[in-house]
Amino acid sequence: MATNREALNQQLQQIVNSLKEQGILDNQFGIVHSLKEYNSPFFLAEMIPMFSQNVQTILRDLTRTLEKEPVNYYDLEEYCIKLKGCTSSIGARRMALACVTLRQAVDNKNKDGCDSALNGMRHEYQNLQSSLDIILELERRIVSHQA
Amino acid sequence: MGFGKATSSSKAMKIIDTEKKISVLIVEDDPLIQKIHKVMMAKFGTEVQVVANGKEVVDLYRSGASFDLILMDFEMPIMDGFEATKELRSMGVTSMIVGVTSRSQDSEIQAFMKSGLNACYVKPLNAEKVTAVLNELKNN
Repeated sequence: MATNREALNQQLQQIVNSLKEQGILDNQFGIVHSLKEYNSPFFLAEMIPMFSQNVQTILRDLTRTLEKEPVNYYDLEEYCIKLKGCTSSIGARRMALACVTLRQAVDNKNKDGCDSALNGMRHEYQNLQSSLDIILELERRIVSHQA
Repeated sequence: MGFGKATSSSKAMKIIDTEKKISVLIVEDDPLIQKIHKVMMAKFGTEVQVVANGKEVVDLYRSGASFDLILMDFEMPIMDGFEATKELRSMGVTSMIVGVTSRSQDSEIQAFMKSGLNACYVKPLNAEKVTAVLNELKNN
């Protein structure tokens, strides 16, 4: 059992390391992962779906705001800041950087720039989400082994 | 990135009993970030409470509650971190108030500091920033 758990942990760590090498995640993800020692074994398994839900909601709000005329750049900025907060807090590095790009377009009141940045952000999220699904599955298996 | 300055309110900061756990109030509207910050602070042996906007922290203090440290987000519904910090300082609150914000432009950080913060950090919160804050708190 311990060997299975070790193997799963190693697999998880390899995936995380690979994502860090690609710049998709940064050290903050490891910090969040380690917090399960101080809370519950299910901590990361709870955080990932919360993160995904957050991102999907904000991306939807950003899309709707950009579709309206005239564009409400104040709201766009607020959503962008919110998304930057949650992506940086979980260690989603490329997504947090995409928020900076969007923020610049918002500050310049450049609608085409905002559209392009939002598309870029959706692309980064799709990349990240597929990896997070794998991490979540592994984490759940690790936790069930511990139980 | 961290910004700090001594404010007149920090000079009157109360003496903290080092035997007691440090009490921390997290003021943050995002449930994901609330949870991460709560567990991170608990990891450092602090007692942590969470509220979701600036009005809740003002109401807590008006009801007689007090905390050694407040971690204050900027963007929140009902009352944001700037207004909440200004209000707390105008009430005579001398607790250490540290801004934790997603805004990273120098002008934004400086503007937030003017509300009466002791320091301000850009998210994400990590062990290095928490250690710096707790050391500052213990030294004062």
